[in-house]
Amino acid sequence: MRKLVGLALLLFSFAAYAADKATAPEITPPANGEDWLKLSSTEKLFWSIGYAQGYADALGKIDVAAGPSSPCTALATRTERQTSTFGKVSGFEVVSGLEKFYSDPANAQIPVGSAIRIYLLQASGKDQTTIQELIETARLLGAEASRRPQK
Amino acid sequence: MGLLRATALVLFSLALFGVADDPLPRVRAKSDAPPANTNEPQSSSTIAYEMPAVTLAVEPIVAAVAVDARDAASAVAQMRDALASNDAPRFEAAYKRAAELGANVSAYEDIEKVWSYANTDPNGAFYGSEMHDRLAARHPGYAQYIERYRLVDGRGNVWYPTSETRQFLAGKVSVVPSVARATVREETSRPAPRHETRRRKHRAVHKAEAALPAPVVNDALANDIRNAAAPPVAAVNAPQPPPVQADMAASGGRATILFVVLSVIAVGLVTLFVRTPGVDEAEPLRPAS
Repeated sequence: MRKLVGLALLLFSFAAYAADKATAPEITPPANGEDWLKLSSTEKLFWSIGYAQGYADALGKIDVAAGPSSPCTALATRTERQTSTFGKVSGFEVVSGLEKFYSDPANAQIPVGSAIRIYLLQASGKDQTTIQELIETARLLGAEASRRPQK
Repeated sequence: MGLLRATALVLFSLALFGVADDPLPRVRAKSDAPPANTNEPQSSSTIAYEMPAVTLAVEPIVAAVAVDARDAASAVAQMRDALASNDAPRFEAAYKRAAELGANVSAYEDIEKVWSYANTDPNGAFYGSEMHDRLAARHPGYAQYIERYRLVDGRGNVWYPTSETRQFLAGKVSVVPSVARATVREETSRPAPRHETRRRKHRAVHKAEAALPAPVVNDALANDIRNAAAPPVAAVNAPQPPPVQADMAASGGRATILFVVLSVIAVGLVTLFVRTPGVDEAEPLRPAS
């Protein structure tokens, strides 16, 4: 009888673990244009606001964690300079920019991070030829990445 | 000779002045800009920045698309196909071509207006009450449909998404966009172990630092795009490290701890019950001598 109680306890713990794992929510962030277009506009907006905040925080953390003359700081400064528009565009504008960017099916495989940076460069007045070259490069590499089997 | 020198000097000065006089964008002073929350939409004409900002026009990257349609029916078919596949440039071109060929495009007029607005306005993903009221008057059922997607900003202004609106209008002309919306998706592929991800990011940072000038664009962004889109081949071919068995920082960490604790308790109880002799098996009590 006591053995049965012990086994029941063991089974109960297994069942509790399995039930908890099955009900845990899991959402994957958008990787490229295909994923982006599957989101609702509200999801896109909140994702953009969160991405912008995380981006700014990450840049700040790199600056704080590394020394003032370290390669990390130089990279952060350069990246910040390239994407300094991020603090000045609203979440609505980021969503609008990405919607515009992904309204061309040729851009569907471009990763969202690259699309945002291209959009920000465009918004900050980078010349159109450079932007177009970046888009072409990102399209090629995005297509290669989509052909590569997922690990 | 003196006149020639003077003319050359004037021409040189003018050329120098012309080179140096690049048209600079208008710069707004901080005092001109009203304080605003950057996460709220601003109207197209006023951009409120907290710092002095360079205001530049944003032009959409849309290459000219030619539609090869000889009759109205073919143009309309291409327009519907572009609408279904979320291809804005092709839809715009096919819409114009169909109108030129005399097709009745009145059913697609609002779609074209909404999509054109989305692609030209800096806040084109959302629109206000003016367009909402106009669409509500023209399309029965629209107001009820879009109500669930409306957003209210910090100032109490109501905004409606153009993407869902376009989807509704496409449904009115019996076009189902190929992109199916899903609010919550289950992750199908196993995420990379944390230490593997960290290693790859670290390698990407170093590669960006040591990267040679790119052949296409001599820009760090191009290098970053390459690194992001194409992780090093060595990382794919290299033997993968064993996956992390338990990740306490992940969302399942709490459940794992609970499971381990319960398992230890259960094993302890089982051991206790198995090793404790029953009443009938116990030795009889002996009287103390």
